[in-house]
Amino acid sequence: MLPLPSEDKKVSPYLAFYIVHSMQLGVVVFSFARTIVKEAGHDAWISVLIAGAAIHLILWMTYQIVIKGNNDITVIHRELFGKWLGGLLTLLLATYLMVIFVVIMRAYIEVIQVWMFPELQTWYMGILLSILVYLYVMGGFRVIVGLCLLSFFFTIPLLLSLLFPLANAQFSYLLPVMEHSTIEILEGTKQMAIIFSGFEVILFCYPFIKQGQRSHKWAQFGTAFTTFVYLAATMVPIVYFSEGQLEKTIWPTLTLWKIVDFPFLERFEYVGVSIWLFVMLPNLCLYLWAATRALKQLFSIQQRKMVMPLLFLTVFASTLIENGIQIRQFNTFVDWISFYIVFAYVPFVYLYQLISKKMRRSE
Amino acid sequence: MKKALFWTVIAAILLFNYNLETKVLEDIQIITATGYDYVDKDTLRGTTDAPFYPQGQDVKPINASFTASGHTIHNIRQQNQREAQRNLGAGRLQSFLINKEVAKHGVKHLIDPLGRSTYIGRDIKLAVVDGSTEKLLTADYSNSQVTSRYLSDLLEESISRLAPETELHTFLAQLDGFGQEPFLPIIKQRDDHIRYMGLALFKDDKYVDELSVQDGYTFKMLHEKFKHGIYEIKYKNAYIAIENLQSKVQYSVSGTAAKPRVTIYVTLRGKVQEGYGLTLHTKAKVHAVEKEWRKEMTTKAEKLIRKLQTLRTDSLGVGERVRSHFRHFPKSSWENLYPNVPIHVEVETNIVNTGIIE
Amino acid sequence: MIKRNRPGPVAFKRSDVGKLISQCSESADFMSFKLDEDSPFYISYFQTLVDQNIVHQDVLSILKGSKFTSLEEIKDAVHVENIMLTTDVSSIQQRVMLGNILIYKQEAQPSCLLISASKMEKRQISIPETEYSVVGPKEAFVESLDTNINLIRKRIPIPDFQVKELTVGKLSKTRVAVAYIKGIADEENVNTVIQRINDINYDQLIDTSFISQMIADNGNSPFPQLVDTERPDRTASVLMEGKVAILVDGSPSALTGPTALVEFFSAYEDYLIVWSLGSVFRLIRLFAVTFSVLSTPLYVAILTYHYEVIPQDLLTALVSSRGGIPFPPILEAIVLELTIELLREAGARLPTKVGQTIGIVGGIVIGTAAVQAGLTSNVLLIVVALSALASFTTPVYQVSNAIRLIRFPFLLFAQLLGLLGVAVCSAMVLAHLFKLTSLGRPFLEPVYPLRLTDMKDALVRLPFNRQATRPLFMHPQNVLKLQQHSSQKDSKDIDE
Repeated sequence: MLPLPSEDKKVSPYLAFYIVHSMQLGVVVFSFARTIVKEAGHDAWISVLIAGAAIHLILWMTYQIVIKGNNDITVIHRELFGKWLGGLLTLLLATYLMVIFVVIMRAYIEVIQVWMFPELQTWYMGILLSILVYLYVMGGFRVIVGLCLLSFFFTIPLLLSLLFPLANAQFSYLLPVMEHSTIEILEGTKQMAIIFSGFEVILFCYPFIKQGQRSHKWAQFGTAFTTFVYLAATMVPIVYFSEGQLEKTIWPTLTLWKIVDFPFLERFEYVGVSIWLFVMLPNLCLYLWAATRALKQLFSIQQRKMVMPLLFLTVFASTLIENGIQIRQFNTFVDWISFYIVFAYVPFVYLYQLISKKMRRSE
Repeated sequence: MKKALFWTVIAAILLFNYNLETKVLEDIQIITATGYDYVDKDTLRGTTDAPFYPQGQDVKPINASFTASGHTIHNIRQQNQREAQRNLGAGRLQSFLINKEVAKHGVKHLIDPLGRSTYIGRDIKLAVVDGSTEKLLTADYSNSQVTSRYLSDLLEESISRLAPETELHTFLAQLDGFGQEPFLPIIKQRDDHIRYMGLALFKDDKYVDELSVQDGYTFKMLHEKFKHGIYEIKYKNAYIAIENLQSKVQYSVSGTAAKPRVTIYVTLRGKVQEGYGLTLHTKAKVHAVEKEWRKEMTTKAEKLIRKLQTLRTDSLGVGERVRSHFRHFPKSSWENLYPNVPIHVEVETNIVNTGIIE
Repeated sequence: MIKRNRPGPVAFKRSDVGKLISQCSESADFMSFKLDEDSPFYISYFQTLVDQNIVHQDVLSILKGSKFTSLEEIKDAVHVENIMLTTDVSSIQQRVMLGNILIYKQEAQPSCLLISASKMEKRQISIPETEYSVVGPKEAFVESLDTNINLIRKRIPIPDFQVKELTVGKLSKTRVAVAYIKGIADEENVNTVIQRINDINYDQLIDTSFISQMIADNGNSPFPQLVDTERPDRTASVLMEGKVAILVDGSPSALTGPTALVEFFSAYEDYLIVWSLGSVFRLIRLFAVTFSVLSTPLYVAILTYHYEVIPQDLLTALVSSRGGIPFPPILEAIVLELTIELLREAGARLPTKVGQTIGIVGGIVIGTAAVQAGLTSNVLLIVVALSALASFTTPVYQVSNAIRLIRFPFLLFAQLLGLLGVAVCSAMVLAHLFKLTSLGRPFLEPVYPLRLTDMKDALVRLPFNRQATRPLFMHPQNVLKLQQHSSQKDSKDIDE
């Protein structure tokens, strides 16, 4: 078990807002509207709201876990489940983070390949992204959080660009409200909740936030803001595309950007895909940072020595996924894991911790 | 030292495996307009306009067009490439023309690549051509040096004032969406000009009929809110021209899902621009003109709607409004329901001013 | 008449001082002679270091006028401000080298008398050259440390303004002053500065820029981590905010720190004009720098890969300007950028008047000729010229160098990956900026870590009554600048 980080390595509590927000937002913004509209049709925005509410609850549980344990999840695992089982759980969680890393990296590379450079090799872009991730992760947690802050500022063009399609919007597409059955809306909610995942890294970076308890409020604000962004990014495609069209469109948000039109710049999608680098980069960095931190807790290997081999591994893994269909298959599989981590594993740890604390006290 | 070596190796790997194909601006012959003519059921004859910029400073572009036949758009483009001096790039395509004969046979296969490709914009203008697109695109026009420039200006600046706004996106949305059918402007080559001829109505992806320029304007009034154009009405044996300051439209659905009733409320605000022998100094006289205007617009609109209903094409998107009004609207029944749905038009007219004389 | 006595007096016995004298006597400007044939005193000094007036009027005339028997008597008789009797050889050496007159007895008497008579050659205080401002004070630092400290102290006439003096450089023995206001500046910053200066182990120290490079947190960074200013008013002002200033004898500028990136965009003039105008100018500078870094790379990226994003009307203009140019955009851009750098270097190395001519020749003649010869497009010429111009809007000279330099990697990445490359390169530069610190304080403050109270004087400058606190990022000991009292002005109704 490592000592808690020193004060100068920690970040202010309000930065939890940016950490949570930037982790919940990623490449998936380009494509998520279609997946939930497939389930919940034009009522998908209700799914987004329900999912947002559910995530608020899970985030609360996450914070309860780390506040009670007053350390990161690896230590809490060991305290709750003992050295071997706890260690195994940590290892699984770290693996999960690295798998998500591969998914995000591959998804972004695919967007670049489809929208900008069809001939760009996966490994080539993988190495370039890895260099960026390496630069930030070697800078430590503070630098990564700085990137999170930056990514927040880069989501503003996204929100503004959503105003352009509204000129051609047909608002009747949203009506009638609640036409879809509860089951369908909940199916959409499930899809949406997965998209919200990413805030789990709080489990790892909690000790690095000054006055951790105070940061809880900010993390909840972050989730609320993400919900707002996703809500806007769901509503606009629904009113802009006709339903049949939206179901066919793989990247609705990017397609929307095609009509953004300035006197000096048209076809915003080329700029948008490039800017999005700053929105997906914090995801990669924090996942890698959290994974190496977990491994450091487990095996006491220096974090800096883990970064490079893990990056090579992920670049290699992402080259194994060759085409769009495989990406979506792999995505579905990882989404399934994500869903259970968020909605089964976190509540389980929360309850287990609650009970074991009670038991210990009664003893 | 070891570190420096490592990064050098990485940099070398990245540099030596670099394989992106550059698309330097002046090495690309930018396609600005394409048109497709009917050959037979599977074959199209495609004409591509890609103005060429000769070398030198401050040069004027030269019209360049290439024609070839093929089954798919991209194959035709490859055929065109056989003649073009530079790599043809379609990233800034602006006008996409379809011959009327092609439109009658359906355009899905033509529109699909436009919706599918990443490099084509969503706001390109589509139009149906009465006559050969090849002739239209290869002709020289006295009022513009570059044919495609004339064409795109006409479609973007002029026709949008007379006809409802159409672009690739609206066409795709109407094609895929429920309860709406696409429509496109019709243009025709006439002497050394291109002329807007009316509105082509589609049923699904097939051309069925067309509206005159006048009806097209009424259609625009029923379809969207806008603020340009002139209404010409006959009042007491004289003609009055009223400039449209603002036109708003609202659909209201009532009745049941099995028997829907639709009312279209149109609000017009206008300004008398021409009316020789007309004095409009009292409220009553203005009201009389307003009433006449209202009557005329209502008649025109209702006639137009009857025509659309007999054609069984729901170009105005009434079905979409009806669907959004009723929960679980049976979509399959709309096809049969549409011709008999009672659609009323309520026009409210308002003359704001009469120019600088009464 | 003083008779030159060379080599040193033979009678001289004390080995240490004797060695020193004989060592110095190797130099032609060293004077060493016996006062009188019967006098026991010897006098030595560097002719080039002492003030001849003091030597003749205050020292020699008195010494020759009366008979002295001991050094103490001389000490009492000579009315010069700084007289010292010492036996310490190292201090004797030091002071002789600084222009003191050394008087000693022939006999084996251990002590020597040192009379300060140093001559200070210095430039007149002139107007600031690189940080010129239309309004406000027109004084700039000169090469004399004492004058420079005087210029600051005159603006902060309180005892809390303190100066610590250090000597740095094995050979140059340069006097370095660390100035700060006790009670406002963070002691930790002062200690960091003093310790880092003491750690300098280099034989010469000619200018503040040596220190700036030697004590920087990251010496490899193109971004300066201490502000280099030639304005005493600016220095005084930042000292009162709680910063530490470093002055070097022989250098006409002061270093202040800790600093943040935003400070490089703030001119002192911003404080001299109305806050709204000052803020707008600051934002313009910020925009100019962004434009300067990104415009040429974006030109290359878009023309090489993304012609789709150019609107139709602009496209026609671009295509016709690019038509017939034999080089790809990247080569065209690099050649033009290098030309501008060439002009700047040539202009900087030449006297002002010639420099101006070079600028005109380069800008107008070469530019026009290049366009007419069809070697570059006029659009790029405009872009490059504008971005060069924009890079000079930064009030601190050093940072404009950094800005012009980082444009080249951006160009390279733009060529490799288009717009994505520009984004990748920005991410790299930002990673560097995020890691950078100035005296251990984050360089991107107040943007990251976000500190809203410090924003009042960062990207914009709010009015003085909103500037109640000193910048928090350097942990000032005394935070408040002014006493807030509620103003009645706002609550008054119209016409009351």
